[in-house]
Amino acid sequence: MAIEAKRVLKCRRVASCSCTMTGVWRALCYVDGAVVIYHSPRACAHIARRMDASSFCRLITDAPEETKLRSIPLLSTDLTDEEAVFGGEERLRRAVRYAYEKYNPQAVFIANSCVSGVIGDDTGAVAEEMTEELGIPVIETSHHGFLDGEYFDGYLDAARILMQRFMKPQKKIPGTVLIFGDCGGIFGAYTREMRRMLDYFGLKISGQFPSYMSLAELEKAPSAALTVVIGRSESDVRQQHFAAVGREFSEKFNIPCFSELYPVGYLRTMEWLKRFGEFLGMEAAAAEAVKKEHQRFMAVVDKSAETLRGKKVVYCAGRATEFFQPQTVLLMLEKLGMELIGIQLFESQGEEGRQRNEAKLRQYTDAPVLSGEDFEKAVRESDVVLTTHELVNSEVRQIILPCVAGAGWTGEKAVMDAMVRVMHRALSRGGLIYA
Amino acid sequence: MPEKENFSELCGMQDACALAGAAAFFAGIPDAAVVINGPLWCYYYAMRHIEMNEPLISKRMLCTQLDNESIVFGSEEYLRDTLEQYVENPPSVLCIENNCSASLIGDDVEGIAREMGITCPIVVFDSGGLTGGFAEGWQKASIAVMDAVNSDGKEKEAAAVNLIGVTDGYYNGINDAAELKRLLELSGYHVQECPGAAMSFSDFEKLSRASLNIVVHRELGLPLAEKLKNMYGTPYVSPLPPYGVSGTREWMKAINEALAAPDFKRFEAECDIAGQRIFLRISELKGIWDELWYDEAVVSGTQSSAVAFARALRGEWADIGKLTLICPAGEKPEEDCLADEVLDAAEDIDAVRERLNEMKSGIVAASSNETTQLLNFTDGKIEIFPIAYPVFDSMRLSDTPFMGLRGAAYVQETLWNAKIHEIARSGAKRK
Repeated sequence: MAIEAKRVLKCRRVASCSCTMTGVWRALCYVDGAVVIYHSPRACAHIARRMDASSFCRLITDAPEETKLRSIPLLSTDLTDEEAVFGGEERLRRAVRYAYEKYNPQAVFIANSCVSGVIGDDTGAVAEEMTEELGIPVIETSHHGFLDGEYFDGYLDAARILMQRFMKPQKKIPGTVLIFGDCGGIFGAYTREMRRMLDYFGLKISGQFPSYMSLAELEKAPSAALTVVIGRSESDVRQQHFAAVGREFSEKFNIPCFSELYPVGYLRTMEWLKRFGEFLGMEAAAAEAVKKEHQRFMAVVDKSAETLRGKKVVYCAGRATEFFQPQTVLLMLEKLGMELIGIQLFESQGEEGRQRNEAKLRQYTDAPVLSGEDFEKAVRESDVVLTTHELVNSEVRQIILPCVAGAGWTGEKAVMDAMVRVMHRALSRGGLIYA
Repeated sequence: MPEKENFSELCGMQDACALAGAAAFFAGIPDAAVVINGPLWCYYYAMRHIEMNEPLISKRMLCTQLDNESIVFGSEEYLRDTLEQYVENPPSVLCIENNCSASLIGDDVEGIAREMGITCPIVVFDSGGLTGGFAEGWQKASIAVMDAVNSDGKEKEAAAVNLIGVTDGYYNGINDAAELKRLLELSGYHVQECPGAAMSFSDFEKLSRASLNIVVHRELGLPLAEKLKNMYGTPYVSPLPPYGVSGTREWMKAINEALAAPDFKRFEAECDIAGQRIFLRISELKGIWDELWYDEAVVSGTQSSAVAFARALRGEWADIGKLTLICPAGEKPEEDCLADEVLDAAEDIDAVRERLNEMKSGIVAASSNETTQLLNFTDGKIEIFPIAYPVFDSMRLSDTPFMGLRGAAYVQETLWNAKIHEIARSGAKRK
């Protein structure tokens, strides 16, 4: 059987494969006091439900505390062919009134679908009218499904609205940090790791914006002494836009904001600790933190190397260039003493994207980029394949690299642990492990 | 409330989009290709639904990847890019589905495909969320495909039947279909075809040979059965899906009344044996583990399955203090489902939420949409039995059905084993 990826979507013109409405929902889903209305067909809310159900099951293992949280109401205006012909504004008015009567919310947020965009509903005018009628903020978010943005645009839009309309200046509480961003939520691995790193500097998290604060808590959010923006990749334009919202918050409420770097992967975590220490004027604490983290990291590397040293690896990658960070994987392989025998760049980003990724790769390694029979041969010779896309071949020992990298060096640890485990795997069981 | 009108709420969502339903129908034609004329996001969610049963569907399910520009200036270029591969290598039938926004811009999709020189039959229709949910999409696809089939009726075979309205897009759908085929063949029928369930395109012409069409899931199959009646004069029956031994007897009886089974006695004999075997084996266990009792039970699933499953759950499988059936929005059942309470997923949404949030012990036969709303989900006191997609909290690899006689035994053994293990675990904790 040929070595083959299960699914490599070839992106054509669009960089995004998501929808703004789900971004709005994610930003608001635990903001108590608010109600979200999807001005959309019912099916769009089906998708949100499916995402939440899937996420719930993942959280049971990663962040069980979050499974106890209950999301705010999300309604759909249930647009049908009739509204597509005659317009959906009246139905939206009725949905807002329904939400107001039923939930007595402090604010209603409207997320537009592509359908409301195509039929040209003036949702903004309806929102203004309903604000007047009901005496609470009824707020339109600015995008329309996939038409004029993607998940992150919706998320950003909702976050900016919350910041601009619901926060008020507060007296600062020393030693507290407001986390700006999601990355798996307030109980997730990223924030847990961030909490651990902030401990080195004697800082405590006071809240996480935007999803994890009620409207009442949002008002008091500017009491934090410091803001730290979290993210995965500095080169991701969307993340840069989000960091800009963090800086707007910082300027508006006169709160220092650290947003220039994210502690994702060993190298960048070391750098983050140093730069964060400089930012705080706590260089000694940072140096101590770097030393301790390095020792902890090397202890894991040395332990894993007992199994992995000298093993042959093929690295398969197919992510968009802004998320392609081969240095993390390559450094890890080097420290483990593993031999990289070849690299496959999947054609998910077209030829141009592939060339950009190859150029990025060449900054760090001379390992051959393989395709066709050479790739097949290398995979057969390898001890393990690290891949962003699942291979259908059960006889290959493969580690699926996570789509979103963890904070600190938890990502590298997960991959090392998975490689050690897969080496002990009877291949008759199928050699695939998710890191 | 300002007026008697409901708006769908997140926690009442049980379904998938029409896009997934229509794609699932064509995914059930192994030699068909499906192109979603829409954005990647909608495509991805429809594909993920189908992937739960057909992991490699992405090899023959593609997307035009529409963006803002295509909605303003038309999707022709995007369609041409995607369809190009089918000019040289056409599938047996090509389905092109428009998502909501593509359906609003009115491109002549079939004209574009034809003009490119694609020679196979092409079926084009709108099936986004404006159309409805999974069932509406499936219905639309099943009707549309018949326009591409030769409508000349073949001579009917005396004992030939088709199974209509079965799909891999329903949880355990194909395993159930296999059991129904087995039972029908045991009774002497010749099961011809199951459109949308592993049936090749060329076999659609054979649908006309059946003397009776049997609709399994009404919400899927009734429009197609009606169409086949109009095209070929084939009558149809649509009894509730057969769960439990009694449910299976009733199902086969309804079919036998419509078209006499050549060997009905053989079926009855197998029913008797299965029923007795289950009864005697369980009686033995009861002596050790007491009765199978649930303080509360909640059943929620696809329209006809949920009703039939609820009937079997209380009527045959377990004693239940309070049985609640959550039915899809606006689809309260005609038949008695033996439930103490029937809730509409839209109209009674507050009661649905309360029931799930407050449940402490019992059984939930539903999808992950419902189980993930259980506040006590992780306490281990609530038995979960998935009967509908999506399912994120259970593994299913074997081919055992839920329907029919084999299904009756499987569900019964699963419930009993879970109960025994739960008693054993709580006993160990008490010690």
